[in-house]
Amino acid sequence: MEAIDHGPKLGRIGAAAALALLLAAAFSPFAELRPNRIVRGESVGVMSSPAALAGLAAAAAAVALSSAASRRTTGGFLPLLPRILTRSSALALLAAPSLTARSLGMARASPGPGFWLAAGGLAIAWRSGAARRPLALALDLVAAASVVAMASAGGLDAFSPYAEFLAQGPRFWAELARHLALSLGAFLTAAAFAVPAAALAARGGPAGSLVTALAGAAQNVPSLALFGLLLPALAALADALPGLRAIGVSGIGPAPALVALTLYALLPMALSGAAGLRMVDPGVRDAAKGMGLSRRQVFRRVEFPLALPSFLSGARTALVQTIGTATVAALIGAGGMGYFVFQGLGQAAMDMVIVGVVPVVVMSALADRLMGAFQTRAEGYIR
Amino acid sequence: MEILRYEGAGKRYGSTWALRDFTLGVEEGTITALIGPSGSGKTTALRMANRMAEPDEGVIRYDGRALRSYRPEILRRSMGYVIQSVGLFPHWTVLQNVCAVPRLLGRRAREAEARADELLSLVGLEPALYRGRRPSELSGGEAQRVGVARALAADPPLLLMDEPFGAVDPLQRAKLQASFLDIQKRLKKTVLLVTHDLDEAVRLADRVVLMRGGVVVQEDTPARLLAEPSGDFARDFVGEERSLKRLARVAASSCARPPATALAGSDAPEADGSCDGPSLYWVIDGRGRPVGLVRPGGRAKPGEKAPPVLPLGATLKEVLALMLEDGPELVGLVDDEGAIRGELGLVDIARASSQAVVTGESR
Repeated sequence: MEAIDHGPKLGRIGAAAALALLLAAAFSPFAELRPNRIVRGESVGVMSSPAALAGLAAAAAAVALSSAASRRTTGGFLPLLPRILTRSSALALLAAPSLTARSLGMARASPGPGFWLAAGGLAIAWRSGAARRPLALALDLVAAASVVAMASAGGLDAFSPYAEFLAQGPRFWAELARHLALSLGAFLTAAAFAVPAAALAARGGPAGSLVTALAGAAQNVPSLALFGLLLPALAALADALPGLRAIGVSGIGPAPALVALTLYALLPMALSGAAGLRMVDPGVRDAAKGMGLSRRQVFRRVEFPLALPSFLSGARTALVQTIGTATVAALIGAGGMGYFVFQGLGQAAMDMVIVGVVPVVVMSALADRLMGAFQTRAEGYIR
Repeated sequence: MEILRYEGAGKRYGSTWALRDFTLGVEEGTITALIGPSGSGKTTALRMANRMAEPDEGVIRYDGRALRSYRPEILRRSMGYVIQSVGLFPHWTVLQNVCAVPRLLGRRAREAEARADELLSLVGLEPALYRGRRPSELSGGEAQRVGVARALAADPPLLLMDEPFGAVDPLQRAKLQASFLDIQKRLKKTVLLVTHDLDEAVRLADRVVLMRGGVVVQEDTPARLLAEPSGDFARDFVGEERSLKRLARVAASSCARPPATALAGSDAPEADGSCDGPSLYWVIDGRGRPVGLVRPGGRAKPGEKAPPVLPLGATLKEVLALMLEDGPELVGLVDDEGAIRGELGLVDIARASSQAVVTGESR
C-alpha cells in the first residue's frame, strides 16, 4: 500500500476559520517598524508590503483549493498544490516585515497582530492537500532549507525576533542544548521507570494502587510548586550526602528540574501502559503461561508487545508535555528556552520571548509527529 | 500404563472446595473427558495437571513422578494446552504461534518450521496459505485448528484441552471433532479433555468422568454412562434422549448393508414380490458414484438433486439427522472417491440402537 499523507480533513468549519483569520490579518497592522530596539515605532498594514500580500493570497488560495478538490484524487500535481502554496506563503510572510523595513529605511520590524493572525490561518491550512509521504517530507525540507538560506543571506536581519536571535549568539544554542538535554533526559528516565511502574499498576494490589496514587499526585501539583517542593528536599539531600553535591545535585539547577520533569512524564506513560497491559486478552495470557513461558517471558514476549501502542501513546503525550514544561525549569536556574522567555518578560522585550517560544513549539510539533509515526507503526504490527 | 494419576487431589478457594478427593488415572493413548455443569471442578482438575492450579491436598503424579518435583515451566512445555478462547498471540503469525513451544525448548528455527508445516496440514490448514497469516485473519474454527497444531508442536505425550471446541458453531464443532479423532487415530496421544457437552464427551472419549460440585459422580466408558447412569444426577445429566446420544458413538459403516445398485442407463431389476427385496436402487455412474435413486423396474437415470450420502466415517446420529432433515428412506455411505459402499434405512438404525443398549457396545 502506498503511504499517502492526507493530513487532517480541512472541513467547512476549518476552511471558514482559516479564511476569517487571513481576512482579519489583511486589515490588521502587519508589522511595527522601528528605527532601533527601544523606540516605539509605526504600524504598517498588509497593503504596504507586497510580500505579505502575496503570502496572504497564497494561503487563501491553498484553503480554497483544498476545500474544493476531491480528496479521492491523489495522483498528479493538483492535490500537491495546497502544500506548495502554504509553504510558499509561510516564506513570504516571514520575509515580509524585514523587506518592508528595508524598503522604508527602518532598522527593525516586529511582527504585529496581522502577522500572528496570518500565522494562525496558515497553521490551520498547513497539512491540507494530499501528497505521497516522501514527497510531503521533501517539500517540508525544501521549505525549511529556504528559510535557513534566506536567513543566512541576511533576508531576515531586520525582522526583530531574528535580530534578537542573532544578538543572543551562542547563548541560544547553549540554552537549546540544555533544553533538549533536560527534556530528553527526563523523558528517557521516565520511560525506563514507566514499564515496571505500569506492570505494577496493572497488577493491582497495594503496590499498584500506590504507583497510581503517586503518579496522580505528582501530576496534580502545579509544575512551579513541584519545583518549589523539591528545592528544600534536594538541598537537604545534597547537604547530607556530599557525594551527591559533587555530581551537581542541589536545591536549584538542573537536578530538581530533571526530577520534577521525570515525575511529570512518568504519569501518562505508566497509566496508559497499565491500561494497555490490562487490556491484554486473559486467554492469551493463560495460553502463554500454560504453554510454559516463564512469568518474565510472558511479560517480555506477549504482554509488553501487545501493550506497546498504549505505552507509545502515553510516551507521545509525555514527550510533548515535557518539552513544553521544561520551559519553566529556567525559573529554578536550570536554563533552557525558558531563560529567554522569562528574561524577555522581565525586560518587556517580546522579541526575546518569541526567541524562546518558537523553538519549543517547533520541537513539540516534531516530537508529536515522530511519536505519532511510531505509534501508528506499532498499532499496525499488533493487529 | 497410567501417564497421569490424581490421588485424592483437592483444591479450596476460601472456605469452599472446588475439588475434593479427586482420584483418577489417565491411561496412555486414551482420551479421558471430564464432564459436568459449571462449578463441578472439572477445569480445576485439568489445570492441576500442568500446575496452573496447585492442589491443597492429595498428590498428582506425572510419568510416575510427583508433579511438585517438576519446575512448572518445564512441565508445561511437555504438555499440549488447548483452551476455549484459543489464546493465539495476536502479534505473531500462525507459523510463529505454532513454533512457540519448540523454540522455547531451543529447537532450531528451520526444524520447528518444518514441523509446524506438517502440523498445519495435519489439522487441515494448507501451510502455504496459512503460515503467514495473523490470528485476526482466521475464522473461529481455523483459529482453533491452529491452537491444536500449536499444542502438538513439541510432540508432547499429554494433551490438556479445556472446552477446546466450545467457542465455535455446532457445524464447525462437529467438523473439528471429526478431524481431531482423525488426528488422534494417527498420533495416539494421551488426552485429558474438559467439556460440558455430553455429545462431545460421548463422541471423543474412551472414558468419561462425570463431576458435580467438586466430586466425581461416575467414571465409566461413554456407552456405560449412557446405558447405566448411576443415581439421579447422572440420569438427569445424561437426559431422556440418551439412546439418541449413544448413536453418536456408533459408526454408520458398522451396521450398513451392501448397497443395491443399478448402472445409469440400464433398467433397475423388477421387484420379486418378497418383502426382503430392495425398495430402492442407487443409480451409479461408471465409477460407482451414486447419482440418483430409482424404484425397482424403473429406468436408472441421474436424479434431479444430489442423492442423500454421507462419508464412510459418519456416525449413526448423523445418518439419523440427515433422514429427519431431508426425509430420504435410505442414506448411502461413500468412500473418499465418492463410490457407494453401503446403505442404511431407519430400520438399521433402530436395530443398532437396541443392540448397543444390550451389549453396552462402543465404536
